[in-house]
Amino acid sequence: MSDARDRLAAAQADLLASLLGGAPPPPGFDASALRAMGDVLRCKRAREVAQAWPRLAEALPDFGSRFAAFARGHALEAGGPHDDGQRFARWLRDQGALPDEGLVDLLALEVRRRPFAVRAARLARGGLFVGARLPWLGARCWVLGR
Amino acid sequence: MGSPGLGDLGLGLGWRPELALLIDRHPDLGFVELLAEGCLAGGVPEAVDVLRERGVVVVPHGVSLSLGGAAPVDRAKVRALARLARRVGAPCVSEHVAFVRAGGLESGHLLPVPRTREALGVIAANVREARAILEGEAGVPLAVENVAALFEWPGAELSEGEFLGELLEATGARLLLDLANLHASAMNLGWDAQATLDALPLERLAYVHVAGGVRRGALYHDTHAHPAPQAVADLVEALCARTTPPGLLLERDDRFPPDAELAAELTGLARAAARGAARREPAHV
Repeated sequence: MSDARDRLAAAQADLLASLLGGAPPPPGFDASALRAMGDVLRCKRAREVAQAWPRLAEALPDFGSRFAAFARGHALEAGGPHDDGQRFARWLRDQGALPDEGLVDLLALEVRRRPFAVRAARLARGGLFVGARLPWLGARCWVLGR
Repeated sequence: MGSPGLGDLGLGLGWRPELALLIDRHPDLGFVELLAEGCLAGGVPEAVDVLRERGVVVVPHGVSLSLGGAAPVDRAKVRALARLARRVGAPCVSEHVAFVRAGGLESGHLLPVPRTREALGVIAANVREARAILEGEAGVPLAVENVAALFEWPGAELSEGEFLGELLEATGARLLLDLANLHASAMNLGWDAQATLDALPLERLAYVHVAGGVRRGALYHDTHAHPAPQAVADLVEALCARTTPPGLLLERDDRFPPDAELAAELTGLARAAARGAARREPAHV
């Protein structure tokens, strides 16, 4: 990269780290405007995940604070709100805090990711989710025994 | 179809699944804008192909190229945009003068760039490269859009109008002039929106965006979730008193109102364009 690119890269990296990580603003910026911008970025990220995973957002009574906790430890990755929501769902599952609505949607996605896949999980409100993807079957999901 | 004060594209609405029915039924829409990233992942919605069969023009609009960033252009992404443009028979593709990633972090939002000659050089190189790929592989021009800002970089050497003007001159790209973004930045940063309009090379206009926003405390937020304020309609009128934009497109992304309300908002904006056109000197009509 050229010197000009390097300088632009460094300046933008410093700014973004400040907006997302709460580090002091780089010199010369309006600090209160940057704080407002950081809030906008955080709210937008949460709102877009809620739009992409509406059943999970509705089923999780403390979606806002849970997502904020997740976001503090997991920087946004390239790929969009649906992928971000999927990472959030997996994080909740690791803590045993993923409600059934999110679990079903997550497992259905995981079943589709490989040519061969089987997923099963007991649901909190009773019943067993089973999902399978096989070459002759395609991807199928069932909830049994409810 | 045809709207006084507007060119061949006419009136437009950003295509969203929630608005598919309104768009399908609206008798006067000349064009729609397709969010490129969604189509690159999931294909073109069937409803959009139905619109194309009726003669509605479709323009892919990207948000993730980060042309205002320091990284070299992602050629594979631009090629994918070119394929999408060919797929929908687009007359152009639009993106932004903004960055969305730096230092390994994603912002998830279009951030403003430093308005220095040095940054201009880097960004112009990115825009030239993206333009070359789009023209070479799909024969479509690239239009770049100004973004809304809550803050600006210190040490600006150029005004927004000068920066955009020099960028367009240096790259040959077209301008997607977002009047709502101009209004937002003017409100938040104390710019003179009319002076910015005066400084812009309006002959390079590809089309125009309008959208709504809301004041929260001292700041105006370009939310795309509220009706366009009167000040934005006034900018439509002021722009159309200076030139005939090829098209005028309303963006609505959230808190969707009843169809009749959105249709009325479009009509109001069309009227603002017509009022502006009526004010132009007779020799220019």
